[in-house]
Amino acid sequence: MALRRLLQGSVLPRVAGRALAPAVAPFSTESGETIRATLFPGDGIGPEIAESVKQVFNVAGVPIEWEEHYVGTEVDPRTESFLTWESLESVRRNKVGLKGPMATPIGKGHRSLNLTLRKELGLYANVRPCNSLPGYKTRYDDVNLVTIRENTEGEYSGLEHQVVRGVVESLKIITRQASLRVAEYAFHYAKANGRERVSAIHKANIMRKTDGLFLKCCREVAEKYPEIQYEEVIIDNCCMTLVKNPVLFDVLVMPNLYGDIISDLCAGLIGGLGLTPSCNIGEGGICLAEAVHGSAPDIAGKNLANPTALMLSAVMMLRHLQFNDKADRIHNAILQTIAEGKYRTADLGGKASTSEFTNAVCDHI
Amino acid sequence: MARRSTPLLRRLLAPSPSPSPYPSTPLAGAVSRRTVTYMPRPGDGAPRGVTLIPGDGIGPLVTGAVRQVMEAMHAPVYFETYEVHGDMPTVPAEVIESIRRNKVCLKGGLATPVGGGVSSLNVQLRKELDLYAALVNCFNLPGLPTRHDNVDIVVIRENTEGEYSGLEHEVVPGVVESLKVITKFCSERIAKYAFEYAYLNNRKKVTAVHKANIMKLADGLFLESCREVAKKYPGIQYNEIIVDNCCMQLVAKPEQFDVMVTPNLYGNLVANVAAGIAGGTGVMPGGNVGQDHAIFEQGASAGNVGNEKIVEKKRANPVVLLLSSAMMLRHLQFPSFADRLETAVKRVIAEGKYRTKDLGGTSTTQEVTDAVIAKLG
Repeated sequence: MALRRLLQGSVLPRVAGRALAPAVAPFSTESGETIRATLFPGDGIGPEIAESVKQVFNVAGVPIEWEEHYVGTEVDPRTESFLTWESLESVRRNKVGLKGPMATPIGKGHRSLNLTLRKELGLYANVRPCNSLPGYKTRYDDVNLVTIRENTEGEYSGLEHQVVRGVVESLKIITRQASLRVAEYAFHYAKANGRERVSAIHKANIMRKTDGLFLKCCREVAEKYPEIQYEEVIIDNCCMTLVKNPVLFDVLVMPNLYGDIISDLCAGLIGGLGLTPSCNIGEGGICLAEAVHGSAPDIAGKNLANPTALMLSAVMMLRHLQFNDKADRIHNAILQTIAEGKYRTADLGGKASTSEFTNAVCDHI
Repeated sequence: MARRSTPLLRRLLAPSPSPSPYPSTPLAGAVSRRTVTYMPRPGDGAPRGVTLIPGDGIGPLVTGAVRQVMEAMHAPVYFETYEVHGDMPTVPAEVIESIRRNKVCLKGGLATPVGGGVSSLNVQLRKELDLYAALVNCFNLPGLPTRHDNVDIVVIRENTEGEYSGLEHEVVPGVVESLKVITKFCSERIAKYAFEYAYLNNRKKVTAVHKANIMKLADGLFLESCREVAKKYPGIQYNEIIVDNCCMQLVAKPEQFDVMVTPNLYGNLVANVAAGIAGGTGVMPGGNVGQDHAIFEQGASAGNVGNEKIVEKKRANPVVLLLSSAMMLRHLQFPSFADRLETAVKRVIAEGKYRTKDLGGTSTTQEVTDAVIAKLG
């Protein structure tokens, strides 16, 4: 009760267009209090990997009670999508959630699932830490960076129209409010996680007003965090440096389109979407962790899926909840299991099944 | 006359055969050249004028290197140099006039000040001369270790519209809009150029890079144009890939890509990623071409002119501009000069003794240039 009131009170009124997400989720780690979290197992391999996460959390003794919600088979008119109003209310109430891969049904008359979640929950920042997994060899060994992507506007505003036949215009929108919001989160994240440097990625030499506004907002926020280094990097150089020498980057904050591309590029550096955790931050301190890979219908139900991405995302969720020691234990267990190499799923070149991998992780906790 | 016979004489009198650019011919090792010859038309050897823009930052250093090498080869080009700097409001009319006359230009980078006032002169030149295709050739150089092998990608990027239309305005304070414009006309001609390039250079596959799942109308129009042109080239494979997946695949499995055709912004990103995996923007040549004119420059990231330290210490990498000038020589139909220059540069890199800092060495620009001149056959 007290917690909930604290949460509601901490959402500050919007002042001059700046909406502050509470800097740290004010969940206290009072012993015995279980936190309720929403779980969307998703489609395809989703349910299996969600089970793995639940198993690992049980073994680690994490005090979380899951509320499971599934994508419906009919469009809910209140949300205009296959996600029901109850599911969304659940996330709004619990403030934390974990989402597995969801396959968007094709067709008209409904919004895409990701779009629904984003709009209804006000998810404005997508955070992806990309760390090379020790023991899993890729061409890059020392990647240790975090990409923070503005998730609501920019080039993905969806505002396009055909001017005359054969000429199409698409609008890219940058607002001060959204840029400030994501910059605030980026610097707060950097501070809370002991990161030293934040780099704003842009193309302001060409798109002077739009990316110029984004940079201005980042600079304003940077002044409030003098202990964190701030730099601005043009996207060309950023791409080149990422593929040549990714160790030079720490935290990257970017508008929507660049963020999309760069975060996938960084996922590629560490081994692909099957190993990359991700977390969406929303208005009012909502944290929805998700696995960004697909639902892989061809291996669904065969106990072959790799639960790493969902597990690492769940660890991100735990850190948001400030269960840091439990998060560290689970994280280390996962890293150890992969590093040892005895139990690896097929996509990492091994022969273990999902359950074998999960059991190995549990053993290491 | 003397200019043309000197290289011939030198080759005849050379004690050792220069490495053949066609190593698969059986006689490659024995005699220097036993391939079907290039038969020029009378007068083809007349020197051609090329506009030279040294540019900012490392530009003057590296264009100076090109000049030295061209002189050493006695290449039939003469340079008309013009000073242009990135902070000028526009490109001077006389420069444009010169490029229109010569049809070909070689330039160093022009640095655009970030965030205010001046629009990019690189972009302005491209729009003014309607150089609608930007081409970057990314390939592994033998002897230069990179994390990725088997890279041989050509990125062809639409150069005039898309996100770089420069149409921005502030709607109300704190809200800015930027227009991305895609037209059928421009998409069609870039697709045509890409397929024609693939056809003329014996390339097997063209991949269109897009984000049409989100930008359905704009990138949808681009894709439509590509598909139409693809039908006219049944011998060339065509496929499409979303830009974020493309970047991921480039770092994981670059050998699957051959020729890539993209709209403006994605082309910028993809070209930089491809250049990075193949060795860096210090070595990947490129150029911009239109119906009537061509400008050759650093392949990717033309606005990147290095920092003052490199300029001071004169350690800029001239390889990229040397390779771009080899592209230029081929474009001007001087194949033998192009081959010699390319071979010399490749041999210097393969040897590894003279390399600038971005390739892991410590040489100065002049040392690399001298090494290239020494290796000219």
